[in-house]
Amino acid sequence: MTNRVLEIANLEKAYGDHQVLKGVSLGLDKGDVISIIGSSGSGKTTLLRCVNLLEDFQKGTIRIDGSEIGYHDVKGVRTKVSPKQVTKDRALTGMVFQSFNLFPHLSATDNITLALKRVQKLSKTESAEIAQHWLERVGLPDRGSSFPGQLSGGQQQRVAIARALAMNPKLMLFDEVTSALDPELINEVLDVIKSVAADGMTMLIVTHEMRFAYEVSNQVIFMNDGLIAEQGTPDEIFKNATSERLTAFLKNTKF
Amino acid sequence: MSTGFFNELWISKVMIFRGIYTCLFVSFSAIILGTLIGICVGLSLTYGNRFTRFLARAYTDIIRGIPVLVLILTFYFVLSVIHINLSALQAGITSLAIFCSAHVSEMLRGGLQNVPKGQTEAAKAVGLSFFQTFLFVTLPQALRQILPSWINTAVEIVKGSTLVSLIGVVEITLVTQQIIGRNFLTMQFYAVAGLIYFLIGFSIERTGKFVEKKVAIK
Amino acid sequence: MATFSVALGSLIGLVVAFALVSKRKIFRILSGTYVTVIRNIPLMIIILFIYFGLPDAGFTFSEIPSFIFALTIYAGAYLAEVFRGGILAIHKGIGEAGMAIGMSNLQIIIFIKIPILIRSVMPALSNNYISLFKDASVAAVIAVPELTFQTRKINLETFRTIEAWSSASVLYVGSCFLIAYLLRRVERRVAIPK
Repeated sequence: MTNRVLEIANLEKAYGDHQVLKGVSLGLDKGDVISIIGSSGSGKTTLLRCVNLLEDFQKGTIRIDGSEIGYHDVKGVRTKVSPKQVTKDRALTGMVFQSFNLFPHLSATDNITLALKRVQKLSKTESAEIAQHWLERVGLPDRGSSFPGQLSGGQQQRVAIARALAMNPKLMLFDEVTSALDPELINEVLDVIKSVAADGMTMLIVTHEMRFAYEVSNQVIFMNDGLIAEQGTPDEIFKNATSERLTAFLKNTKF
Repeated sequence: MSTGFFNELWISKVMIFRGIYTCLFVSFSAIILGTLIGICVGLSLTYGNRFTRFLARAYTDIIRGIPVLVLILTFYFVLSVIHINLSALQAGITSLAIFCSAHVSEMLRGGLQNVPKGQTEAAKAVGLSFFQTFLFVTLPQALRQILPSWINTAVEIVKGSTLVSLIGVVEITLVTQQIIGRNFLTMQFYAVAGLIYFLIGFSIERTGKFVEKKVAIK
Repeated sequence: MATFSVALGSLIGLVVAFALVSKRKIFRILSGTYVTVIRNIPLMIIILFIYFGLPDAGFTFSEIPSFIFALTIYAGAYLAEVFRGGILAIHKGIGEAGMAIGMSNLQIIIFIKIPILIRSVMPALSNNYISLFKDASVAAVIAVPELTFQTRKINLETFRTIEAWSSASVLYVGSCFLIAYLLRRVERRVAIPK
């Protein structure tokens, strides 16, 4: 059992002619919280989406807990793994989206128990207990029977976080999860993420909230043009930026 | 209207009920059969491979382009040329069902594709398989969206059922003409026919709205 | 002939649509009833009623006028729904802008709302036009066997007529595709640039 939860090596990805990721390497140990910052188009979201195999990638490897995911060697040829394997590999990570993507026709509790029952094959009572536990964890103990349409944006996003955490992933991925929220609702979500980090969850966070990134992470990565331009502790990145590009970027952001 | 009209109406009540029964029988059989076929075609249209999709698309577009009457006549007359002899009733139900299926298939495709992409992504992220995603996430949302159009198609089928009178099926229109042939109260009885069709269609619509409200996403 | 009815029906539909969304309850009720009733009755019955039934009340129409009359009423009800959807989709602020520069309500409707309406509603409209044309062809066929009070057993004579009509229908389906294609081109031409 290695301590290295996530290992990305030389990841390259292109959309048609456009090369989005040009060779990204990154490692996360258990309990690491790494924030990724950078301007739009730098490839940060794409990187995240490759980790849970929502996107294909042409070169490089991604290993979770030591095992490679997404592709394998078939007689010397790099081939994509079967859809069934992809589904299994995805269970290792949990993802929270910018637009929440809660299932509108299911209550908050059912949103969480759906995968517990269908993927992990847990019983109705077991899943309900787990769901309730996580709803309490994100601060919504009595909103289980509410539907997404009846919840505020901040509440919906917290349910989405609970939904991802309930599946007990090894790694949590957060894709600009507060960018679609009204300003006064952002803090409730950020607080939840901070407490989950404090519990020791390994996390990879793409965000625009600089102060939050500074407070919650133990490493910050600045991406530019498909590559990691700078990497370091929050102090190194935010207070002692070395590269020109990073300084320029930080000048235009609130910190 | 003279009391003669109401008298005539009362005398003909058995015939009228027969006509209504046949109309409903033909319509509902066609709707159910057509919806089932339409679901199969619609699924191939949305999720099939290139070849299946091409066939499904051809089927849907061609059938939707043909007037209902032509469809009915084809099944009744043209098929007999290749020795498939359908009774008027069978031909009527089959042709209306085919007509329905083409519309349902297109509806289903539209509904399934209209479910936001983020839904399937979230389902994938949480570990659901393709089939599980379809059954628990995509389909429930698509069906709710399709419901109004489906009800519309159902009413269209009921209206289309008048055309089977031309191949001799004794439904409302034909019964009306038979009654008029007897008592010459043309305007009144065509009005009655119109009223009956209106009531059928209206009830279907109302039921549809009721169901819509019940299953609506809050 | 069908074209004329549909065109006329469009005008009626437009007027009825505005009545459907009007602030005056009486307009809404009358237009609402018209639309609901007509949309639930088969075109055939409407034609039969007008051609055979109305003479009883003293209104006699010969074949073609009764056909046009029926199709116009029928089209009007359907198209009203299409236009209504389009009207509701027009941003409220646009009417308010018109009022702010001093235009009367009628002027706003004619010069602002209708042009926007027609462009946005084109796809649904063309869809409806095509189905109306199809329904129209059906009605025309009916006129033939209906002219005699024969029993419903289709005899050889009528069969030949229908046979001839079937081949005409094939040509007709072809022209349907042509119309659809042309309408799509018009749509692209006329569309509001995004």
